[in-house]
Amino acid sequence: MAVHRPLSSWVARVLPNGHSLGDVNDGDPRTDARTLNLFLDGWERTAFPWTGRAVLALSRPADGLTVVELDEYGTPIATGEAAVDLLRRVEEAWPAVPDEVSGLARESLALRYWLLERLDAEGSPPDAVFALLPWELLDRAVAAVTIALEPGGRLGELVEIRHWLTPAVRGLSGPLEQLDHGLRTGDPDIARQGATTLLTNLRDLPLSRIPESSRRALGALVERLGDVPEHREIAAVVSGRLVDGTSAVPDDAAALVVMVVPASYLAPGDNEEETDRAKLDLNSPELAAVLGPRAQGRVFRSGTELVVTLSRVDPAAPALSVATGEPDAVVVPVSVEGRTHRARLPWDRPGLPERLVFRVVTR
Amino acid sequence: MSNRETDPRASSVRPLLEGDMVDDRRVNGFAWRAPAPGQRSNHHDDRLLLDGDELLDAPPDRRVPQSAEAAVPIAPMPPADLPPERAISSGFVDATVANRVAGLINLPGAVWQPFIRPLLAAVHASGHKAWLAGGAVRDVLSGVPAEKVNDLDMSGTVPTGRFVDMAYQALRATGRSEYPVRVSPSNLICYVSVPGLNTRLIEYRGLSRSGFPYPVVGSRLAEDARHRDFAFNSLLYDVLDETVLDPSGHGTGDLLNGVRRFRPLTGTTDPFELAEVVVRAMKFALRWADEARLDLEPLHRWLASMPDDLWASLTEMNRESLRKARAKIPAPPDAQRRFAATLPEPGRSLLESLIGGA
Repeated sequence: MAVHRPLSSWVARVLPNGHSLGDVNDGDPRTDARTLNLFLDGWERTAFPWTGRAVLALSRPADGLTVVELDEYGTPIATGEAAVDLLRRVEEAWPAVPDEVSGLARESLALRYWLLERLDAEGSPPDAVFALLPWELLDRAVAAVTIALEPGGRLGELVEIRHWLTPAVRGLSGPLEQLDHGLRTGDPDIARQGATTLLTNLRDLPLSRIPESSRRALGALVERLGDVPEHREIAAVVSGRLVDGTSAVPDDAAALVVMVVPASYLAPGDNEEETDRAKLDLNSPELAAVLGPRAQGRVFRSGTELVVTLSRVDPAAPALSVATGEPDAVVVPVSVEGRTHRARLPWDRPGLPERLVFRVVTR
Repeated sequence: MSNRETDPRASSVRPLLEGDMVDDRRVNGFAWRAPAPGQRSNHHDDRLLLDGDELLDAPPDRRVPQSAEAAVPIAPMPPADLPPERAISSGFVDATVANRVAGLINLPGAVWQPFIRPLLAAVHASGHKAWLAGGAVRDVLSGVPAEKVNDLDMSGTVPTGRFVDMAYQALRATGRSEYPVRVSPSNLICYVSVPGLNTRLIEYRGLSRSGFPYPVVGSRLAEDARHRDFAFNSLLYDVLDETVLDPSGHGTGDLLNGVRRFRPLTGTTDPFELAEVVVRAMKFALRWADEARLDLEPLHRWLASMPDDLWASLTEMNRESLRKARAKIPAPPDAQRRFAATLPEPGRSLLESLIGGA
């Protein structure tokens, strides 16, 4: 495996004149630079001087080719020599994460986002690493909404969290922003939908990557949401979970909720069909307690079925059933086929479900 | 002139369009500059281009007014820039088209389903127009089931930064603000994707406009069609008016008249973009081989007009992108080789090199 590969899915080559850049991915923004065989070998992590500052780059000594890494608007990602040195060491340890990675905390949002996204996709980074992400955005957004929900409260600043926290947790900032949007635009349906989804996701999602201070802030918001009778019960469950995000005790002992990560980008060089194949996020302590810490999961579409496979499952794991998270989902037993656990679920919708629900079968 | 004078259902707002007059100068299009790192793009990043700005190396620092209030709004609002016969009520194409498009837009479980309607509503409220474009229109018109459509391409009169703003607000209202909205500065395509992935769900580009040393979008459908690969891919669909737009005048005929005609439209000279057209031609030809008669003659004539050394400047990354696109075509390599062998040069050698020993 190559040591130094793009962090971002977009790169631009430095043209022969040395001071201008080519098009995104040489004219193909739809491709993912991280998956290109071009980067499998022979590249070095560098900083490239561009318009008076250093930007994140990769160079190939064999022919002098240099590409710079780009953010979501195609702008080269600014950095510094010291950060590049540190990043070089992080990449040499990949996918292990040296403690000194915290030294990147002051780097640009784009650098931190792309670093953690690739680390999450290719390894099992410790929870503490995700402190690099801009949690202050979450804290400010939570504070604005919490104050607005108080009797006579008014909305504070509008905070756009966007995609910046998704390497750590997906399904958190989206419904929070929806709740904010509903309150801000005076649309109670949108606000209610955001609140309900936020509480449901906080009940189901692994929370251990959320820093403690942010969990506390979320706890205050959840308490406020629990003032509404329809949310009271779930808010009480979530409040308990937020106190200890690493809790190994499932909130619903019968259900193990697994987020589906539909991935064109499973690993470097992966050339799978883009929308019909995904991995399962089995990182939560609840799942590890049942399936073992090395378990891996995949799901893909085959005609009108979803094929769910689990591998590296602890031999002592109990019998399981699985269903999609849809309201009318059919529950199917997971059968053991050699070293693989497999289930086939009926599925005639496009794409993939957002989550699967595993349950221990009581004999 | 307000939109409502020509279309009673239109927004009362008339946005600025290419062809309007501002301070006695003609509006020539709209460019875009990326925001400061970490900031989200919005309408402040759009740049207004007037007559003469095509001579500049970079877009001038001139913002785009949000309406045509201070302008002379003489440009026709698309599709009024097309001859009337190129804006076809969907019922004249096929009585089921409107229902099938609605089925696609409202498809339960589809990733776009929650936010495409709010997005279209936001575009409508601004006075702008946005249409389904490209593959989704081609597929629906040719009878592909909605479940087989993977993503939605869109086009419209909305400048780039303003579209990012509208998309983000629609995502926010539907709990999907975690979906990254990206802009490729080299072609001003906006991508909405699933977090953590590079898979696009919606791809939007303003109407293509050439003649500038930097990327620009405009407001004329006929010019936009000249930037599409094939006529059957240049069709657009107005969801609100249930109208099929055929800016080239050949799209519906080439797709629906019993013979699928591969009529290239693109005027690009970029070797990679031309190579993409050849790979896509193979994809469609093999996909449709069993369901329709194909007329590849226009493609052959187009290829024969190309220089033999066209692919010499393709980069390593270009070739890998093309090989990946080729590998995704759901037809065995032997069938691909047989198709390649029917093409004149330089198309044949390109495909043979991409297929290799697969």
